Amino acid sequence: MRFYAQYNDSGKLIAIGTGPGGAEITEAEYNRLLSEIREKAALVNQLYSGEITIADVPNAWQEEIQRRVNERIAAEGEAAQRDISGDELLNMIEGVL
Amino acid sequence: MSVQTEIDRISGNVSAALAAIAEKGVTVPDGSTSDALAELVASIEAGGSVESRCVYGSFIPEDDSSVITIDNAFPYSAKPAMFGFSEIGFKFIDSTHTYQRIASVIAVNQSLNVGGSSNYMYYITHCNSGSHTRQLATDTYTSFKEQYRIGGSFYNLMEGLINGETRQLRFKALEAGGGLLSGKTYYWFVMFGDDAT
Repeated sequence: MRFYAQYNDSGKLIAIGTGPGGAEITEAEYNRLLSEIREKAALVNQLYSGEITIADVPNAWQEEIQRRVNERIAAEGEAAQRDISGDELLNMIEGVL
Repeated sequence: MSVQTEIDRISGNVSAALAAIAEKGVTVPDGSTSDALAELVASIEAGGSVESRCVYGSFIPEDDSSVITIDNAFPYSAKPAMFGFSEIGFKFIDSTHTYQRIASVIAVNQSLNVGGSSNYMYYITHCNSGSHTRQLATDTYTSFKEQYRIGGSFYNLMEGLINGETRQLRFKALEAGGGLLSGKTYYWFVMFGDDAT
């Protein structure tokens, strides 16, 4: 299987993948990038939902994680203010009853 | 160089050609000789296996994105005929049935409904603007939408753009797709050939 990394015109990593495309990388590099991407995504979700604070984010990633959370807030609003589904509401009620 | 040596050489070449044709997904009858070569090769050009006509891969966005462009997605120069993407991968189905061929690449968790019922759901793009057989332009970006269908309703998830000249694929999230999410795996394929029906 072929692994690749896709960069934008500024040289920033925008995606990784398998198959044709981008610049070929090793499987080890792919797995390393995948772990980092998913770890950052989890931190963004946790910070957005208030489960952690920015102090819980590794120093090297704090600026990026905060920026991504700010972009998400701008797009979706604060987590506490967003609309919730009926199922989510039911889960909340069941959690306190 | 004896006549027998030459016969052996030609016989070996014919056997190798028949084996290569079989690897392209064509059924080669036992006992086929050089007499069958032209017809068998023609059947490759008529289609070959669905998977052999496709290139496919995946991508995982580094950041939440509305657009992702993949460079050099085509390993060779060929006319893209059909393009699709999904969040669950594809399986490739060989069929000559008129209706099935429309859905010859389908999402992995779906099954073909040959009867054409509207109660199935599929995630592939049919390159359609009112037709399942539209050719993709090879010199400019051609756009089409990935939809899923439940009952009689269609929902737009993503727009795909393919550039046959620069060999780029571009994926753009639409209203029902909610964006391309960081860390999430998306799958795509491009089928080559003169028709995608």
